[in-house]
Amino acid sequence: MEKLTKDLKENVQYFKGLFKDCDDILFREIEIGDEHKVKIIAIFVDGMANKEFVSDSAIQSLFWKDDLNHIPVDETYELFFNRIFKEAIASAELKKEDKIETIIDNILSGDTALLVENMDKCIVIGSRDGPSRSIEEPKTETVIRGPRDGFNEIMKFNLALVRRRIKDPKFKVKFKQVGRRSRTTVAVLYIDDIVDKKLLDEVKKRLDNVDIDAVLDSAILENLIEDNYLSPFPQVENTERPDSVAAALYEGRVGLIVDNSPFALIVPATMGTLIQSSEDYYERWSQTTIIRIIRIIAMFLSFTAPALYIAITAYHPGLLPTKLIYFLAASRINVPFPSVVEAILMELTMELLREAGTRVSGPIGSTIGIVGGLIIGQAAVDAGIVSPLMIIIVAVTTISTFAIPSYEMATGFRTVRFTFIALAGVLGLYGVVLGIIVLLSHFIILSSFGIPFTSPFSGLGIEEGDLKDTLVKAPIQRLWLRPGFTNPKNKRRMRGHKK
Amino acid sequence: MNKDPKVSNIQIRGLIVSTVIGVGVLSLPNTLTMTMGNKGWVTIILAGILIIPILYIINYIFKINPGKDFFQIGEETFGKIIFKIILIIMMAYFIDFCAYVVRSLGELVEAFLLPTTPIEVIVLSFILATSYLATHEIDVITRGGYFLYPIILLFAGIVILISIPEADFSNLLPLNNIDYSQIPRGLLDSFVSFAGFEMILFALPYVENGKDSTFKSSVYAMAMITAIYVLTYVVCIAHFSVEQLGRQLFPVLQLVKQVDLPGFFLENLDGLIMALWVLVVASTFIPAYFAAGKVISKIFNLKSHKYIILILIPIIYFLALYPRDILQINKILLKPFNILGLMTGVILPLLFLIVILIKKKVKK
Amino acid sequence: MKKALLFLIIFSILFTTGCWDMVEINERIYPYAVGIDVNNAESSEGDSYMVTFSYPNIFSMGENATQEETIYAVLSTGSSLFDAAQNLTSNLQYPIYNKHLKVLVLSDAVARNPKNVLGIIDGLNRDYVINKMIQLVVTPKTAEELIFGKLKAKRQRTTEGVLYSILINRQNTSMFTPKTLANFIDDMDRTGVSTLPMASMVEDYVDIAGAGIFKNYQLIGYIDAKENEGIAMLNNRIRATGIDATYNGTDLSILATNIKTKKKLIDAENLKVEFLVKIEGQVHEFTLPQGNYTGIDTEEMLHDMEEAVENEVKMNIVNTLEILQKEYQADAIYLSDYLEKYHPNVWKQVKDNWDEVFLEAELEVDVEVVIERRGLTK
Repeated sequence: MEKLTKDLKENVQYFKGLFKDCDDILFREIEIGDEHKVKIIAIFVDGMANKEFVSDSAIQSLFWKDDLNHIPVDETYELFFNRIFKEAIASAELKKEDKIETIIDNILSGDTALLVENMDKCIVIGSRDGPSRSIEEPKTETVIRGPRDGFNEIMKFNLALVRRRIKDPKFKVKFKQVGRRSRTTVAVLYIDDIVDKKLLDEVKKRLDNVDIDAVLDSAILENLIEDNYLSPFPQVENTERPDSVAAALYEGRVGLIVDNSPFALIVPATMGTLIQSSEDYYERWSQTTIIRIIRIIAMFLSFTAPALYIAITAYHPGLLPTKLIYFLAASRINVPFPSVVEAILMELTMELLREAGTRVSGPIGSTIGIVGGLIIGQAAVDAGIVSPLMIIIVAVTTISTFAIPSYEMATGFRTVRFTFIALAGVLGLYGVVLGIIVLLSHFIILSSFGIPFTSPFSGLGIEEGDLKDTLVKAPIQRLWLRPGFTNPKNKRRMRGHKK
Repeated sequence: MNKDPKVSNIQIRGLIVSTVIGVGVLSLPNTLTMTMGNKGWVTIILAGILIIPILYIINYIFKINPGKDFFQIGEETFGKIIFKIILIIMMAYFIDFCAYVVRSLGELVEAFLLPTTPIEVIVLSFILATSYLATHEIDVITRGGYFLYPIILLFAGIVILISIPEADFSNLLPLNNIDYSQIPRGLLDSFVSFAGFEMILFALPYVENGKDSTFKSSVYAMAMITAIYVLTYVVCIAHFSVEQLGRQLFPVLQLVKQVDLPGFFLENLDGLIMALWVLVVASTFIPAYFAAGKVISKIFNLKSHKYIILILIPIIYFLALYPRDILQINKILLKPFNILGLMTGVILPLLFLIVILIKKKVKK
Repeated sequence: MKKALLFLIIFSILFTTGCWDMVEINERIYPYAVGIDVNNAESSEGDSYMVTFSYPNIFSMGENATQEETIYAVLSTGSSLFDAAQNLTSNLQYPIYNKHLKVLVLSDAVARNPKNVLGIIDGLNRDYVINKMIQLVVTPKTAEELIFGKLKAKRQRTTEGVLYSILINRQNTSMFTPKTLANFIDDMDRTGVSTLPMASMVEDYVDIAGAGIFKNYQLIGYIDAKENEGIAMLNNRIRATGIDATYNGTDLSILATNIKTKKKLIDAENLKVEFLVKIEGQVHEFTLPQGNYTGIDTEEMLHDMEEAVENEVKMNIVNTLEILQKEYQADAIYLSDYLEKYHPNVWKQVKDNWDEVFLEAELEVDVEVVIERRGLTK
């Protein structure tokens, strides 16, 4: 059955059959009219639909509206139906619908469907109001200065948070359904006169191509629309912050908000954007510049620090100053393992601690950190299993991964770190450099929605001055153009001093 | 999104600089002092200037044949058979280029970083690591060239900056006793270190915007390379006497070993410089490797050069390891490399120009 | 999947057969000073040198040091420095790694033979590992004595060895002029003459003063600290030094902080060269005559003092030049280098018989002293 039929019984039968054993779906039968009675059936999901709202504005008004209860004998069902639609139901969101598929979608999203006797249409009342938590500060991207509201799981709130920052009719929100069973709504956000049409079409095309039964979180969608899903590095940015999304839209990028996920996606993501954090724009530019440089160093250290330690101590001690080398040699006298084993051992321990710490929240988590970090480290050094410098190196590596704004990027570096340790163990510094060559090659090959991942460092957007917001961050007055890598239609942000 | 590779004007510059600067920069001061004494900078500048007309010719060829790539133009100008012969020469050139570069790298890494590791491992692992990028199309290669270009500047910058405090620039004196009879030799020696600019043959047709200024950016790149070469040469001369420079095989590395920086942590910089240099060599090797693969795929009329790159791994490997020692490297790899380099770098563009001009005349 | 498998295989092969060069940092010996002597033992078969290595004992460092002795020295024989290091592997538990070698001591007997010096220098220069900034030192006795003597020497707590510390940290003295391997080779290429600082044991102390003069890789004699100062002044190799003079019968000490020498060719035919030495300095110490409480307060007095210093310096330099010219015929003042660079035409004529020309050259010295500060008191 594709469309509703005129026969209410048949329709109800159909829905009842469909929702068999779905005890959370309620069918409310109403009968109105004095002489001439008309049957109306409301279908909604308990908990998803706002029951109070349905009772108050729909059912109650159907009952108590006097002229409604008087149905002239000669009135057609069509007229009556329109009368209800126009006059009776006090709801802001209301529509007529006859396609069964859409009706089911709506019901399962929390809307209420009113089936009227003898009508092949029904009224869908927007009564969505699922359980939700309030708007809280984002857990993963806290800032010292800047807005503190973060997304939650309800898409309409999330959209409102973004819309509040872009009060422009050119800001478009386009809904798409993904997931054959989960029927998750995905909102495509963009600013019409900034975004590059090609990029937008590509995003829509990829969303249409998604074929999966359920999209439980934006992370799943992210994996499905990425350019290279085998890469350990993300090609889509995600954020919990509405201001980040808004800023990205103003740059001519496309945002995706997935229902039931507090993480919005932003495409395209490049190396340049993944080292930016929203706070960068709320702090003074000089401070941000220093932080950006530190971040780049952190990024580098997060995958090379242990490898470099092995390469230098076990292969090329000549690189170190003489005084340091004597100290290092003295500190390693009792260590029974080769430095590669030492490094792998310590890194694994660190990963273990991190994993244990993140899965357990609250005070136990911090206890794990303290026990692991301080006690195990100290004991290991005292026992002579590892050298004190190795502890420092592992600590530096771990802290470095936290200094990378994009968690996914940091995870990527964490993963490749072990390869680097192995390379350093076999070929020393040369091995590390070979690893860097392969890693850089990988970055160069990667693209995000057709835009080279290495932008703007690999040429795209350099002429537009994209480098002003990468390693250094120029003052806002100097960033009068939108970044060029997204190829925005409208290039100018403010009246510039040049061009 | 779209399969057509696209290259931007600014990337051309990066591609030229990163392809050209590679192995040569370490030994150039040595080869030049052998012929030119302390006047080597003269021939570097001369060679740099002489390449500009060649760049112009190459740009011109693509300008009058818009929308066609190098292989289409070549086939149209020379005919299929002659062009195949030219391609075979180019193939030999690029393969020899790769073999020479990777062998030199192997020798140096062996000497400075891994004295007992077999050179086979060093060479093979390098080819394997670089083949990843070389299998991709020209837009990715140019992107890589531009991405690595700051590293090359960093490398040159470090070498030049750290050696300035102890430099004795009076070694450049006297300025006027140039041995003119040696200039052709010196010119040839300098020209070899400019090898690699032919890469623009593959990249130029894909430049999407600013097609008119490609010549300007290639000249800009050439000027940059010349400046880097001259400066490294000058700092080498400022540190070593001519006799000593004539003895040093890799004076730049020796120079780095000798710099004594105030402050304690930067005691031995040679390892760091070697590591950076491996990256610099990779940025030279990858485009040449790509070019070899591309040319071969065109010889056999294949669509993709992906598998050619894989087939080339053992070929380059064996060719690179064929010479026994450094003297044989010069004989077996470097000599033909010089000749083939001249053929592809100078004679080929001239030939193009002559044939095109003749055809124009005949048409009239 | 196939790719991953291939990758895995390559990696595991590398790991099982690889790690060719891996030596843990604590499993090497890092000598910092090496002395080379001639091997006089009867039984030496081609081992022409006796080489003394001294290296720090890493077991004596750090918090939980287990051993007392801070420095070890071992003796070995071999046909070269590297051969000797190789021969040591049979009685040391770890291999020797020469990258951190800081000082090389040549004994008198070794340095007197140009073949030895040339061989050693070439070996050092050719080697990939050896630091080219290694300090060269010559000792009039045996290197063994100096290196072993160092063990007993007091003030011995520096990790990099007392010799190196003296050489590096007292760069603003004129008693000796430190020379690295690179400097030495450079000198030899330019002028054929170089000086190496002379080190010896004085009682229980290591003492570096004066220099040994090398000509064409051969030690031809020694000069004392005073003469070394003269050479260093002419070569602009002094940052700061004290100069003593007598003024009005009392001692006057000047701290010269800026010494600049310019060479100037006056007469090309007879090779007359003028050295203009400019010295800026301050009064270090000046014993006032009894009953004089005014101190240095007139311009004339200052001027006279400057003159006294000028005379003192000039005398020393002239004396040094005399020794260089007459006794050693060694152009340790880069005169030939100067001619080659600034007067190539003159150099072309004298190039072939430079030794004789240098012997005959008229070298004039002009000293100009400016005393800028008197110190805190008058």
